[in-house]
Amino acid sequence: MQNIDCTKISGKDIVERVIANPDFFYCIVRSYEGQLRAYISRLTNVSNEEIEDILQESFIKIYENINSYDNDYKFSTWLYRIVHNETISYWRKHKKRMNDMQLDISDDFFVNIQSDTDLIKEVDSTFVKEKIKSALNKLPFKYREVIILRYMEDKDYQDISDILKKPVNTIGTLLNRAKSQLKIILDK
Amino acid sequence: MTILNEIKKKIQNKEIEPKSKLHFYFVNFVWWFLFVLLFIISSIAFGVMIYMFKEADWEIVRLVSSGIWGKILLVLPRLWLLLIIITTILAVWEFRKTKKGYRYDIIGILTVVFFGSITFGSLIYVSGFSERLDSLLTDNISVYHGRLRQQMELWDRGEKGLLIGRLISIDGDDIVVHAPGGIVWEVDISSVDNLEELELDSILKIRGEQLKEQKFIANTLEMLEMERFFGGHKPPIRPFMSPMRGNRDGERFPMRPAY
Repeated sequence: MQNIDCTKISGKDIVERVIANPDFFYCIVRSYEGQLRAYISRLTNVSNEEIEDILQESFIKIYENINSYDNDYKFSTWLYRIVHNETISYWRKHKKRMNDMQLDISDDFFVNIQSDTDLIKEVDSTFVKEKIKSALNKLPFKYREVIILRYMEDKDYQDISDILKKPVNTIGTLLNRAKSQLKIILDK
Repeated sequence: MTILNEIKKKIQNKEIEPKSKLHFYFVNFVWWFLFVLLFIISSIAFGVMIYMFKEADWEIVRLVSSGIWGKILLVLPRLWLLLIIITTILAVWEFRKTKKGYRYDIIGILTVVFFGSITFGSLIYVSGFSERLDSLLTDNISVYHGRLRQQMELWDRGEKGLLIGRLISIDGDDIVVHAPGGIVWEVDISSVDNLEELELDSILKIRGEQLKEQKFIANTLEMLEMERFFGGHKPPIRPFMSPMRGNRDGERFPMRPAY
């Protein structure tokens, strides 16, 4: 592991490199662990132990299915898809309702959503931020997941389509509906 | 222990290996294969449906039904239609399971599959395969009567002057015909010109007029080719208790069986 150069872990030869040297896989774990951990946390807001479990299972799946990776996708998009599926199946397995989750929202989110929509005019006050947080938590899960991927993970429509395995048009529709719903909740 | 160590340990302890590329090619191939198979079945079903529509007795359809939907419903081969619906839905589902199938809109896939099946089905019909398949199924599958069932449903209308059924007795100019619905008709064939030699158990298509309940006078009569339609199987006619014979009290038996 010490002799492996972990600097170039994205690119077309990623699968070949893992196959050639399985230790290279641990570079992937190191590089994406933080990002994917944050994603699970945003998606579910479960305990740290549960995040560990989901993340571990996800990386095992990634290792097992590394040969299914297709260069037509961004590598990170492919990782997100597996983590997303693993998170959903974890919730299903534990019979928890997706709508019971409380989102953990960073400041970046407010900047991103403000630059993309006229939904939120003023986000400086803590009060408005809290109101938005509360509104997001009230959104149905199918809308929340697209909002998370678009404005928290900063993914484009094609990436979201590849992660959620839905057509790009559907992603556009879901995002528009999500924003409309958010506006309705905020206006109340 | 860090997550990295946990993962390492798990991979080593459980001897987890990456699945081969071939495995994923095979899985994707299976989805594509099922999609193509379902598309072909749907096309064949369309082909047979076109054949049924084309060969339907439209003169009779016009006679017994008014309104375009009424006419379509009369000749609609429901079994094939059901097959088209099921295979089309499954084909769309299979396509969505292929590697990049999710990128396409369901309505779009459905439209392509539907119109593709109609086009391919038309070619199948033109090639004559639809007719051969209908005959083959009629001859070899006892419960399938394809176009014959369509004719049975269309012609079993005494009140409209149409009759179809199995010939069960001949007595001079009077014959007894057992209709698919279970009714037994006494038919006067004295007015039929160029009457061919009738065979018991043959299927007859008769046009004429209903005189009274279960009494009919025939103007034209056509004998269907049994081998062509039944291939040794029994035609789709409900059995009856005892044709045209009364009980001890002089009453007629009920002509429609209870089932």
